[in-house]
Amino acid sequence: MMKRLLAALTLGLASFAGAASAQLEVNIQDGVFQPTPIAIPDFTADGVEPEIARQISDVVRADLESTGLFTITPQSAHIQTDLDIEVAPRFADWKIIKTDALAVGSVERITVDGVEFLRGSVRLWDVYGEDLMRLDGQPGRRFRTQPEDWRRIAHKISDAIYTRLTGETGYFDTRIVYIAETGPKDRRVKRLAIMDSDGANVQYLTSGTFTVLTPRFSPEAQQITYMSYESTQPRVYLYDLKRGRQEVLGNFRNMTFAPRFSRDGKSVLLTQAINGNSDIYIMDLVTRRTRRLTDDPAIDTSPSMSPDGREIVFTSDRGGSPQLYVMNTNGTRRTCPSGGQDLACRITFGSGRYSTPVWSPRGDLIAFTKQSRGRFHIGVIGTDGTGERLLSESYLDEGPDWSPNGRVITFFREPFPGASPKLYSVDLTGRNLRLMKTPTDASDPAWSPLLQ
Amino acid sequence: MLRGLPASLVFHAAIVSAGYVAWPFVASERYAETELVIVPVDLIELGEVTNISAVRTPDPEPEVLEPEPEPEETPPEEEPEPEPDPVDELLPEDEIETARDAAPPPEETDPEDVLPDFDAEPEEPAPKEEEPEPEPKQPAPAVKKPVDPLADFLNSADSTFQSERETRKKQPEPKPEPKRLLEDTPPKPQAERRGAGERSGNTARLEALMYNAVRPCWTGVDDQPDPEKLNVRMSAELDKAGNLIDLRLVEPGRRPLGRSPMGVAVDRALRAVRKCAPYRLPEDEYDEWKYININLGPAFGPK
Repeated sequence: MMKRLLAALTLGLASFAGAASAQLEVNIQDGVFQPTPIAIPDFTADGVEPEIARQISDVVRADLESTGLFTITPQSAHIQTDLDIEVAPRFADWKIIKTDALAVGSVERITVDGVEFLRGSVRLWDVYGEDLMRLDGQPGRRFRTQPEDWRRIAHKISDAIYTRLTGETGYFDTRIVYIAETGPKDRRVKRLAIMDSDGANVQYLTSGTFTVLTPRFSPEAQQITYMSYESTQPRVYLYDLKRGRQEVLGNFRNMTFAPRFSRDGKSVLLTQAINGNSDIYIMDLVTRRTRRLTDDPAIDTSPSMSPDGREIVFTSDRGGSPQLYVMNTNGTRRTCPSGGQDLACRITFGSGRYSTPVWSPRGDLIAFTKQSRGRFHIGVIGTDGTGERLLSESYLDEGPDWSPNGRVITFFREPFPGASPKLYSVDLTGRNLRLMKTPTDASDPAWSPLLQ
Repeated sequence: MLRGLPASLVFHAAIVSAGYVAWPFVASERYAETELVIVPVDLIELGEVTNISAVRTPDPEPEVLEPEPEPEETPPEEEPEPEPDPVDELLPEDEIETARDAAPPPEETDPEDVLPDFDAEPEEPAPKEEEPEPEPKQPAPAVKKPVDPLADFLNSADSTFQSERETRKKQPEPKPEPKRLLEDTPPKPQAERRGAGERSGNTARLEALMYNAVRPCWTGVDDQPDPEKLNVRMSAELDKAGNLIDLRLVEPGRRPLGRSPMGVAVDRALRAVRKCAPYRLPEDEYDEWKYININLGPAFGPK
C-alpha cells in the first residue's frame, strides 16, 4: 500500500515536473539601452521659500540628466500634482506617462541649537513595482546643511538616486579643480580654480601672478598638489583647502612637475628633471623622504598609482616614442604581458603617442591622451594593455581625470588651432560627451573624491 | 404612336424615379458595410533576432499574430487602484533616517573654509519625526506596524512582490477557471500543453512574440561590472488579456540587499516585464502562455 502510494506520488511529481519544463520560456540575452525615465516634481517647501525648493529640484534634475542615463519626465506631463513625501503616490498616474521612477522630495528649514539649517528629504518610488526603492538601505534620505550650501543637499540627493538606479556610487557631490585661463594667448593668466561638479560656486585659489599647472586632488579632497612657476623654476606645491595656504613640496634643487597623490594620500608621486633627464620619484608627506622610482636615460613622467597602491603607470619614451608603462611601486621586477620580466612593462603598442595616463578608481582601466595622425584622443585601456578604446577626438584633447566612481572622464579640449580651451566630460561608453560650463577658459581639470 | 409615347414617358419616368429612390440606399449600404467591418490590424515589430527555429508547422496562420483588439480590457486593470492604499503599510516604517553626522558646529568651522562640512541629521530629528507622524494624510488608519527596522529591512526585499500580490487580489478575479485548471486536472492538461520544451511552431511563435514585447523594455546589464554573471530568471502568470497576475523571481530567489550589480539587474528585469504588460498574445492559445518563464541576461542566448 505504502509502496503504491509512493509510486503514485513519484509519478505525479514527475509529470508535474515535465509539465513545468514544457512551460513557455523566453530568453533575452541583450537589452535595448535607453535612458531611464524618471520624474522629479518640484520638491515641496515647508517653512522655506518655494523658490529654494524649486532650485534644489532643478539641480537634482540637471545632475541626473547630465549623466545621459536618465530622461527627466517634463513636469507639464505630470498628472498627480498633490504629492506628499509621507504618502504613496498614485502609481497609475505615473505609469500613464511611462516613467520608471518617481522622486518625491521636500525642503524645510529647521533650527538646531539656535542655528538655522536647511533640510532636504527624498523618497524614490518604483512606479511599475509600486514600491519604495530603498536609498542606501534606507526608506529615504534626509540631508541638512547651512542654508548657503543648499546645492550640496541637491547633489547628495542626486547621488542617492543615481546610486540606487545604476548600482554605481554617485559623483555629484564632488568638486573639480582646474586652471582658469584669461587674457591674450601671449600673456595668459593661469589661476587655480575650484568649482562644484556641475560648474557652480567657482572660486579662485591663486591670484594669477604666477602660472600654475596640473592640479590634483588628495584622496581626502582637502589638499591640492600642482605645479607652479612661483619661484625661479617650476616646482610642485601643496595647497591646503581648509587653511587656504600653499607650500613648496620638498627641497628639490631641480625642476619638479606632474605631481599626483598616492591613493592613500600619504605621499606624492612627481617627476624631477636632472640635467635634462626626467625620472619619477615618490615623496612621503610625513617624513618628507623621497625615493626614486625610475632610473632611465629616457623621459619618464606623469605617474599615476593604482587604487591598491601596488602599481604605477607612467609615460616614457624609452622605446623611441612616448608610450605607457606599468611598474611595481616597490621597484621589483614584474612579468610583462609579453611574457618577459622587467622593471617596467610597456602596455601600449598602437600607432601614435600616449601620455598623461590616469589609473581608474575602479582599478580596471587606465585613461590616457593619444596623439595620432595630427589628432588628439582621450581613451581608455585595460591595465594589461588590452581593450584600447578611444572616447573622443579633436584638434587637442588632453589631460584626462576620472570621476570618483570611475564612470566619467573629464578633460580639456581646444577644438581647433587657437581656440579657447574648455572642460569636457565623457562617459565610458563615449556616447555622453558634454561641455562643462566655466566662467573663463579652462584646462587641466581634476576631479575630487566624493565629499564627506 | 399616340399610345406609345405616353407609355414610353411613363415607363422612363418610372425608371428614373425608381433609381432616384433606390440609389441612395444602395450607396449608403455600401458605406454602412465599410464602416461596420473593423479589421483589427496590429503592427508587429520583428526584432533582428527571433526565436523561431527550424520547426515549421504548415499552419498558414500569420493572421493569428493579430490578437483581439482589447483596448477596453487593459485600462480597467490599471485604473481601479489610483489610491495609495496598497502601500499604506509601508508608511509607518518609512522614517527617513538621518545621514552622515559630520556636524561641525558653526563656531567650529573656519570662516575661510573652502569646503564647508556637510551635515546630515543627528539623532534629534528622529523623535521629531515620530511625533507628527500620526499621519493626517493617510486615508485609512490601516494596520500600523510597529517600527521595527530589522523586520522592515527583511520585509523590504520581499515587498517588491507585494504589490503584485495585492493587485492580483484586487483585480476583478475574472474567473475561478484558472484555479480549476490547476487544482482539478493536475497532470493531464499540463501534459497536453505544448510548451517551449517541445519547440513546436506555435510556441516558437509565442516565444518570438514575447521576446519582441519584453526586449524593448529591458535596458540590459552591459553597463554593470561582470555583466555575464547578471542573469535573472523570472516566472510570470498572465491573465487572458495579457495582464500580469503574478511575477516572481526564480533566480536569484530574492533581490540582494544593499547596492550590488545583481540588485540593479533584478530591478531592471522585473521593471521590464511589468512595464511591457499587457502582452498581446493569441487568446485561443492561452493555455500555452498562461505561465511563462522569462529569462533576462547575457547567459540566455537564443536556443
